[in-house]
This record gives sequence, C-alpha cells and structure tokens, in this order.
Amino acid sequence: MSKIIKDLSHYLPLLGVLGFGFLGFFLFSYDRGFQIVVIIATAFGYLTWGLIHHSLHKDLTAGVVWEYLAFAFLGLVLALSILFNS
Amino acid sequence: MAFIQSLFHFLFPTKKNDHKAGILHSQSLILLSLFLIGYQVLFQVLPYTGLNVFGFASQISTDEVIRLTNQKRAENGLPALIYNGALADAARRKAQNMLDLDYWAHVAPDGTQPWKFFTDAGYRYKYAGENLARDFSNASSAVDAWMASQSHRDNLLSSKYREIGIGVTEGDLAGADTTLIVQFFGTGIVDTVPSAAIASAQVNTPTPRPPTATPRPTQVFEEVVAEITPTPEATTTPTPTETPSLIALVTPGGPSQELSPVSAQDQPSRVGLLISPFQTTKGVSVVTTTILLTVMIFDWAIVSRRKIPRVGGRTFAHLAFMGMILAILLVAKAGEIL
Repeated sequence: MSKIIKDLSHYLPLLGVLGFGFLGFFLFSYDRGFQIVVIIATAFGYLTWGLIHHSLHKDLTAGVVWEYLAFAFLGLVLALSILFNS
Repeated sequence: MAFIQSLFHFLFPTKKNDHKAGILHSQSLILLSLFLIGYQVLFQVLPYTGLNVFGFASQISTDEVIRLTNQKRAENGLPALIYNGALADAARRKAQNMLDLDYWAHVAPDGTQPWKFFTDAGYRYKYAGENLARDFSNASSAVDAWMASQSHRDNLLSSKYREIGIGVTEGDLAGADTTLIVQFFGTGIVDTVPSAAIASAQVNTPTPRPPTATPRPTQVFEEVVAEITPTPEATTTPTPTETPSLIALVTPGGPSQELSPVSAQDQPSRVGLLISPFQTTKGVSVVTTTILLTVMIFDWAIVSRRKIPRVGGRTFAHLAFMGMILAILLVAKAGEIL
C-alpha cells in the first residue's frame, strides 16, 4: 500500500486510461466498431504505462515486458470474444 | 495428493514457482488466451459440422416494439406512429431477405435498397426510414439500444414519419440462430392520417405533376444508418445520393390502419434449447477473470506479508486492468443495431 501511495502520480494516469476505456465501451454500446477500437487502445495504453513506469524505476526487464504483454493480450481476448459474440 | 500440490502451485506463490502463482506467469496467461481463442474458433466451426445448437432464444412482439416506440415519442412530445400493414409486410420481407441472402446490412449484397421493400409492398412513401436490430432477448432492450444511438434515435423520434411497420423474424444468420427486428418508418405520399400540420418550411414541396401511366417510385426519402449523422433538413439522402422528386401518386390501398391490438406476425417464443454463444462466452470469461483477480489478490497479500522481493510487473496495475476487463464483461449486452 505504501508503494502505491508513493507512486500515486504514476498510478493516477493508469486509472484514468482504464476509467475512460470502460466509459467509452459503456457509452458507445451501440457502435461495435468503436468499442473494439476503445478496447485495443486501452490495452495499448496499459502496456505503454507498464513500459514507461518500469523504465522510470529502472527495473524494466524482458520478463516484465512479457508479463504486461501477456496480461494485455489476455484482456483483449476476453473483451473482444464477448464483442464478437454479442 | 499430486493434484492438490499442482493446484497449490498454480494458485499460490511458493518457492517452486518463484514466489508467484503459476497461473500468473506469462506463459500460463498466453496459454489461457490461446485456449479462449480455440474455444471461440469452436463456436465458429461447429455449425458447419451440422451441429445446430447455437442460437439466441428470444420473444419479441411487434406490438410491443410499436408500443415502446410510441412511448418514447410521447415522452418527447411527438404524436404516435400509426401501424401500417403494408409497412409491416415490407419489414417482414426485408427481415426474411436478410436471412435468405445471409447478410446484416441496410443494403443487400445484390444492391437492393431497403426502399425497394416499401415499394414492393405497395407503400408509396414521401419519407422513409429504417432501423435494424438483432439478437435482443426482448423488445425493450432493442428500443433502448436504438434510443442510445443518435442516428437511430433521430429516426425513432422524427416528426416527419407518420406510420410504422415492424418485421420480426427468427432464423439462421451466419451459422447461428438469431432474431431480426426490422423497423420501417414512413409517410405516405397521400398522407391520409390526420396529424398536426407538418412544418412545411422544412420540406421541399414542388408542384406535383399529374399522375403518369408508369409512376416513378422514387420519392424524397431519408436513409439513416448508424454511421450517418441525423437527417439533414434538405430532403436528400446521405448515402446514396439521389435526386429527389415529388410526384403526386395515389396511394394504393386504403387509409393507414390503426394500430392493431394483435399483430399477425407475433413470433412464438423459443424455448431455451439453444446454446447462446454470447451467454456461454460471457460466463466463461467472467469466471476466468474472477479466478485470476482472486489469485492475484491472494498472491499480492502473501508476498507482501512475507516481504518477498520480486522483480516483475506491478500487481496493482494488473489488478486494475483485469478489474476493468471484468467490468466490461459484466456490462456487455447481447444485441446489435444497424
């Protein structure tokens, strides 16, 4: 928890990106194409955040990159599969 | 015993899994993603094997769609649309055409415009509009979806329309059972429906020509699709553009019918013997995401408590991202409009 508070200035932009991503998905529920773009952009934003954050903390390794890529990919698969079936 | 140990290895941080739950390792996440992709591929492939168990059970009444449409209009101070049998027939034919030719669009693959269904049903229109919906489980969610989209809302709440016809058809579209709703709006050339005076300033009304032996069907009309901004004042269509011309024609058939209390084409309800790809996918995705989130929380708590230094991504960031995905999965609804 103390680490989160210490890095609050880093986490707030991430929460902003994710919050707007969810809002965009929800508000444009009638536009499938836009929803797809929003999800991809949000996943990309999350990945970029991870790379920048770890780069600033000087602990960016290949393992960390793969970890964020894996989570972003999984999140995309989960969200897009529901869109393509709705 | 071995199974329990494997489960423990997967779900909790131990020495053997480098103090990170096995399921949270990048390789596990990628494998999980590939499994989910394979699961989706199965949904696409199975209908071609003859196994026709996928579909979307729904019960949608044409009367209910009209009632809800008029309710929305009343809430916005607009007069109710009158049910027109020719429009309803046209809408049913359009819905059936979409199933027969296996397409989901305003314009058929062979180039047939939606307005052709109007004229084929004998409806001579001054204004015409179309809204489409599919895979909704009830009329209310379809109407709500149209109202949430600006262009569809504009159609629904247009003061230019006087009549309405609804077509609801169930059938196979792209390998899955679906329910299509076609909502046709119209104003006849000879507007026999008593209504408030139309704002003539908004309408081009050149002097009508006398009836000809072979009347030209094309009139001033509007085509509103999801991607197009609300109908402009000028009486030209956004796409495709067509030179408008007003011709006085005698509207075939009698005056528009009053809203029928019982629709002739109410679809029977489908008992839930069908597997809904949407519900199944949603269920699997929600369960997967919830398990991941739970494991992440426990993993984080245990590692923090034991003060184990670990080089890796920020658990809080992963939690926030997966939390957003879970929220998206929970708010996602079936149904598509066009």
